[in-house]
Amino acid sequence: MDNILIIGASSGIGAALAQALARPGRTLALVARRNEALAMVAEQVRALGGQAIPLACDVTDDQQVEFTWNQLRSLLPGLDTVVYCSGIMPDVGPDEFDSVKDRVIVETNLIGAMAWLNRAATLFLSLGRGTLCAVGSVAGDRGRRPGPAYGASKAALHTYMESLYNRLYVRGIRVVTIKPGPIDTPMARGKAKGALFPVDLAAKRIARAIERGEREVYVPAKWAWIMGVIRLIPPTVFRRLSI
Amino acid sequence: MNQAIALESQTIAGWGMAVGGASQVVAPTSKEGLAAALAYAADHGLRVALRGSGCSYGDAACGTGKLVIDLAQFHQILDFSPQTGILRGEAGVTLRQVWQTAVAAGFWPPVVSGTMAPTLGGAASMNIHGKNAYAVGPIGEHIQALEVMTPGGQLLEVSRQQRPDLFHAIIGGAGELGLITRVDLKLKPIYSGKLNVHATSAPNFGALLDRFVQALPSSDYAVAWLDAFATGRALGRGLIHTARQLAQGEDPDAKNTLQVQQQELPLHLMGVFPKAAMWRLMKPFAHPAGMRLINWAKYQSGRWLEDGKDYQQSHGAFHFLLDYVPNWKWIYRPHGLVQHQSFVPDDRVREVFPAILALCHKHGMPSWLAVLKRHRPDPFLLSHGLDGWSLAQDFPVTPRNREALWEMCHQMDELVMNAGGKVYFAKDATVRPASVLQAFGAEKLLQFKALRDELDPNGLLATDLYDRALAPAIALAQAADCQAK
Repeated sequence: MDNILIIGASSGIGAALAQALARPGRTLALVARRNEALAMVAEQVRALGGQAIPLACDVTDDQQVEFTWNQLRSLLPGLDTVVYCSGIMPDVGPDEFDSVKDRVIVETNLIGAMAWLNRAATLFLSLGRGTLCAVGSVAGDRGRRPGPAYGASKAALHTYMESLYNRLYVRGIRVVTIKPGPIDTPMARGKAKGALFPVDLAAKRIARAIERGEREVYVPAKWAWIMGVIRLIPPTVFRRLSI
Repeated sequence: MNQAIALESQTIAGWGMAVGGASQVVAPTSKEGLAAALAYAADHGLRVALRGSGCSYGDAACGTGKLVIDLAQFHQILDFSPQTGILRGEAGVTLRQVWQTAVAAGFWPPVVSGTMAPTLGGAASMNIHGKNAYAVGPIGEHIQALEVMTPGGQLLEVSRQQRPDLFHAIIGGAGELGLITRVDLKLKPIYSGKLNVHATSAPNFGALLDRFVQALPSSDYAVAWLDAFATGRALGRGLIHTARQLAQGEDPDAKNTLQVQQQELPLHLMGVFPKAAMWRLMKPFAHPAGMRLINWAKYQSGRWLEDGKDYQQSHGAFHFLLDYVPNWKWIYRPHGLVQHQSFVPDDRVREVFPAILALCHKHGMPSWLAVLKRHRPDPFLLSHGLDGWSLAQDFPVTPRNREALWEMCHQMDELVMNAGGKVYFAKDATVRPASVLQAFGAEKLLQFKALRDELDPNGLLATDLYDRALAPAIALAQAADCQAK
C-alpha cells in the first residue's frame, strides 16, 4: 500500500481521504476535473510527508480516462491501490424526471467507476495483488423517494463491486466497498436531514478499511444496523415512510 | 507498417490455473506475421507476452491485458543430423517432436522436463532442467545457437561465440529480451530405448539425502519423491528413483527398443482403463485427508513392494511422469495450484528443507506432491542453477487458503534466500521482488536491464511475471545501486 490512486480527490470524501492516507513513503496520485482544487489537496498531501501526483481528468470521458491511465502507469509503475470517490448528487425536485441530469449522475457515479476499476482490475490480475475500493452510499440500499438516479447509480455500483469481489478475492485482490451515511461534505450539506458526520473521521475510517482490505464498510458504523433494519421493511410499509 | 493481424480475446492462464487473465492473443505463422504482431503492439500501446506451450506453472507465459504472442505455430524441425546429433528447430517445436524425430537414430534430448509438451523456445527461455541436472546442467548448456528476433523486428544470430553476453542472458531470460525463433540443440546419443531404473525408499529426510548422494555417481538420472505429509521422525521420508543409460551393446534388442512406439505412453491403464478419464477418479481424493492417504499409500507401497528393486523402463515412461495421467491438474480445479520450488545450496540443505517441510505443517498446508532433485551451477545470467538441491512442492489454491498460502510461500522464500538459494521463474507465481533481488543480486539484475535497454528500449516485452517480480526487483537493484554510489 505505497502507491495509491484516488479518483475524485479534489473535494469531499476524496480530498479528506487523500489527507488520511498521506504519509512519508507513500505516493498518492490524485485525479479530478478541477486542477486548482487538486493542487491544493496535493499540497496538503506533501505537507503530511507524502508524495503527490495531481492529474486532471474528466471521469465521464473514456478517452481522457485512457490517456490519464496510461500516463499514470508510467508515472507510478508500482500502483497497488485504486479508490474511486467521484460522485455527484444534484438537486432533484420531488416531481422532476430529467433524463439529461440522470445520465450525468450515472456516468459520474457508475460508468466512471467501471472505467477506472476495470483497468485497475486487469492490472492487478496481472500482478496477483492490489486493492480496489469504491465509495457507494447508504442511498443505494433502498429506493427512496429523493434522488432516484443517485440511489440507482449507487445500488448498481454496490452490485458491480460485489461482482468484482466474487471474481477477484481468490486471486489475491482486495475489493472494498464503502457505504457512507450523510457525511459533512459540500455534496451533502443542506440536503441531508440531521447531523452530518465529520468528513475527516469518515476518511480515517475509510483509510483503515482500505489498509485492512475489508469487504464492506458502513461509515459511520451505526449505518450497518440502521440499514440492516431498513432493508427489512416491506415495500408496502416503506412507501408510507418519509425516510 | 500496420498489417492486419488476427487477434482473439482469450483468457490466458498459467499452467497451474491460479494466475492469468483476459488477453489479446495472436498466433503468427511466419516471421513477417511475427514482426507485424510486434509492430501492431507498439502502435497500439499494447505490451507483449511470449508464449509457447504454456507449461510454466505461474505467470511466466501470461499477459493479462496485453498482447500474447503464441509461438506454437512455428513447429518445423528445420534440420536433424544423425551424425552430429544437432537438431535445428523453430521455437514452437516441442520436446515430443524432438525425441520422436531423434530416437530411432539413437538420440534423445539432453534435458527433458517431466512433461514432453514444452517448446524449444519456452525451454530455452526458462532454461529448464531435468532429472539429470546435477550431471549435465539445464538445457541451455546443450544449446549451440539461437536465432532471436528483437522487439524491433531485427533478426540476430546468438551463440557462445556471437554475442555471448546475450546468449547467456536470453537463455533463462523468461522472454523479456527478445523472441527466440530458432534453437540449435545438441542431442545426446543413446544405445537403447530402455533405462535401468533402481528404486530405493528412505524413512526420513537425512536417510533420503544420504541414499540419494550415494546413488549419484553410478546414475545418469536421479529424482526423489517425498511424502510431505509425514511428520516427526518420518519428516521427509520418500522414494528415490535413479536411472542409468545402457551402454553400447548392452541392449541386444536396441534396434527395436529405440522405435518411437516403444517410447509412447500407454493410452490405457492396465490395458483397459482409459487414462484420459483417470483424473476423475483422482478428484475425490483432492483434499488434504485424501492426499495424506495417497501419499501414505505411495510411500508404503514403494517401501514394501519396490525397495531395492531394479527394473527397466523406456525413456518416455521414466521421464514424462506428468504426462502419464492426462489433465491430472484438473483435480485442482477450479482455483488451480501453485508450485513452489526452492533451490538451496548443498551445505544448507539438511537444515533448510526440513525447516520448509515443518513450516508447511505449521501452516496446516503440507504439499500434495513434493519432488527433490540435485543441481549444479551454470553460466547463465538469471540462472536457478546452483551447487545444491531443489524441492518442488505443489499446493492447491482455494478461496480460504489464498492469502495464507502466499504468505507461506514468502516465508519459504525467506528461508531459501537467506541460505543463498534461488528462485525458478518457470514455476513461480508468488515470489516477491525483494526475494528476486536477493536470489540474483543487484549486479546481475542490472546487467539484465542493460541488455533489455539495448534490445527492447521501449519495454515492449513484459509478461505478468516481469511486471510482478522482475521489473520491481530491477527497480530495487537500481535504487540499491544509486545508494551505493
